[in-house]
Amino acid sequence: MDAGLLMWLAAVFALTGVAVLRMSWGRATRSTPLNLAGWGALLVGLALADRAAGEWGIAVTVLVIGAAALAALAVAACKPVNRGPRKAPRTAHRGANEIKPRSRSGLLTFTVAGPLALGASLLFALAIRALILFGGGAEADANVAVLATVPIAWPVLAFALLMMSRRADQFAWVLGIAALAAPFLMFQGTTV
Amino acid sequence: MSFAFAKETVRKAISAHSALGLVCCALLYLICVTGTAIVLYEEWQRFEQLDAPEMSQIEPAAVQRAIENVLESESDGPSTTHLYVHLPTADLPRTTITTDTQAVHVDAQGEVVAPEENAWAEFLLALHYRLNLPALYGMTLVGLFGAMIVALAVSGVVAHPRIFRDAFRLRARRADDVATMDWHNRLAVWTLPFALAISLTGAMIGLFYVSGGGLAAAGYGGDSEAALAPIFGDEPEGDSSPAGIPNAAPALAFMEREYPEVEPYYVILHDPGTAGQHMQIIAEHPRRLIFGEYYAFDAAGDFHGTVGLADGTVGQQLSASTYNLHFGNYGGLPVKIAYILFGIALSVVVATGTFIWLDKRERRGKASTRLRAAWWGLVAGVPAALVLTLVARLVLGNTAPFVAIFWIACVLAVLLPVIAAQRSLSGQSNREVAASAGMRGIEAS
Repeated sequence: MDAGLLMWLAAVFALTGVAVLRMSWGRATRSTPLNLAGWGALLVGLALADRAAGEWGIAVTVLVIGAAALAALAVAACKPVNRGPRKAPRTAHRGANEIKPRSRSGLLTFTVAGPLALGASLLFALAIRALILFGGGAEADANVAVLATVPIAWPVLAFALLMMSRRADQFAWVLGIAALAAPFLMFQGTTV
Repeated sequence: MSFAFAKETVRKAISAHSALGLVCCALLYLICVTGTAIVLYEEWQRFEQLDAPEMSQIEPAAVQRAIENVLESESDGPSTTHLYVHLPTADLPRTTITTDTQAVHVDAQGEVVAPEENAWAEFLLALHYRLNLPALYGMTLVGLFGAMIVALAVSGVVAHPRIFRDAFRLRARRADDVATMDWHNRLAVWTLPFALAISLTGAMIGLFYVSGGGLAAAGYGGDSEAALAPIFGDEPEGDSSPAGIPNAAPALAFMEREYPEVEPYYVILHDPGTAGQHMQIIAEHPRRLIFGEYYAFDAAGDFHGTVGLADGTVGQQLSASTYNLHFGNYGGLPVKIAYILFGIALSVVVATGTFIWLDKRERRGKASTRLRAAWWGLVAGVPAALVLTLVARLVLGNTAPFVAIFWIACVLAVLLPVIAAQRSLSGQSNREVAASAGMRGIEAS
């Protein structure tokens, strides 16, 4: 089938998926078949886009999904709502901030989750590079792995550290990752 | 559908989310707003200089004439190390030549017509790319904030157990705290793929001085170019002895003949006029995310191969895809409009995130009048300051001091509402004191 036609078909599945999920999540009770149909349509749309134009097709179809959802939100935003008394929003994390946090240095938390975690992430990325080279991978892939790993590893590690209640756990994770990755620094010159 | 995170995990996640958001909110908002505006980089350039010559294509011989004309105009000055010819594209249908010292538009015959005047677009790009700071510090800072969007996205997902169930619930017309929360959560959910794509690519670009510097230090004796050579190719050994001007015409003709499916948009001359000179043509591959492929030529225009950005290793292709995926220039105007829409949504997510924190603070009985005034000032001030710089471009011209105008306007936009709020609080306090004194006087009498 023509790639252009496949892209249009992918867009139709994407729009259908969003519409079905809108219907499903708007029901009072959960509907597994509708949920599956919605997610299924989105997946089919992405698969068709991939077949039509690879990563470019997927990127464009994801934009279609997002734009369709924003259009649905625009409709929701215009709907009148019950004007009950003004009250605090009911959310799952309501009152989270009312819990007095454990008293600890913000500067030290910043240092651990910021520069220390970034350093550990860089060491981790360099360890991945060494492993790729050991495994016979291309030097270009190994180097790109470093550039791509740091922006993923650091924010995930920083978030995980901020979730930890004990300072000792934070240091253990940061220093543990750094210690495990540091030996791979000796193998950075290795190319296969 | 809901994720089964434990209540305690959700509470910790929202605390982490709040902490990250508060640390980052101001510059993150600025980066999101400027990133939204810079999606139209090419269109802004056209807007800035409406009378520049435009063309849908240019003949290879005219390109060569233009190169010779520009190099001739610099013959009595220092030799340029690089010369870039921007070929007409659908987004920017102009032929522009840039050297180390100048940038000029040429017409379809290769004659130099006028200097390029796009200082505002360049200012906007520099503001988004490096906050108008030196590249090392500015790009790194922006990269760090890009990574923080990733952290905020992950923590936001963990902190939101009803992420799918509520995905279409937007009670905007309540116009209260609930509405603010809905705006934040709903837009964040539906911009999540976009936010992850632009933050990861942005962080990858911005954190190069950290990750690429670390890579270079660990594996290449500190040589960053050597670290990038396996990905983007290396520069041949130079030879500064004099030579004739390279001939781009046969190279462009070769591209037309051998690669008709790709669209050349840049000719790069390295060390023109020296024996070590060589050429590269960057060509866009339709329906690909890569910014293009490098086609190498010698000074006579003979083809020497490609780097492999289009068909090389996965890493090369991934690396070449970061720029287009980040800036949204891979699908013409429709994709740009989508990026602007999502960029605005992401800016709203950042803005409402801080308002949610302020709302919570006030519910706990902590007055936030000045903080709220400052945040409102920033939220309205950043786009207003951008508009002000654009007005300055139109009124004062290409040499207007955009950086000073923008940052002074931003500072004022934050300070003035705070001062106004302070005065309002003082007036309120005075009235309360006066009322209290009046009551005491009545009681005494």
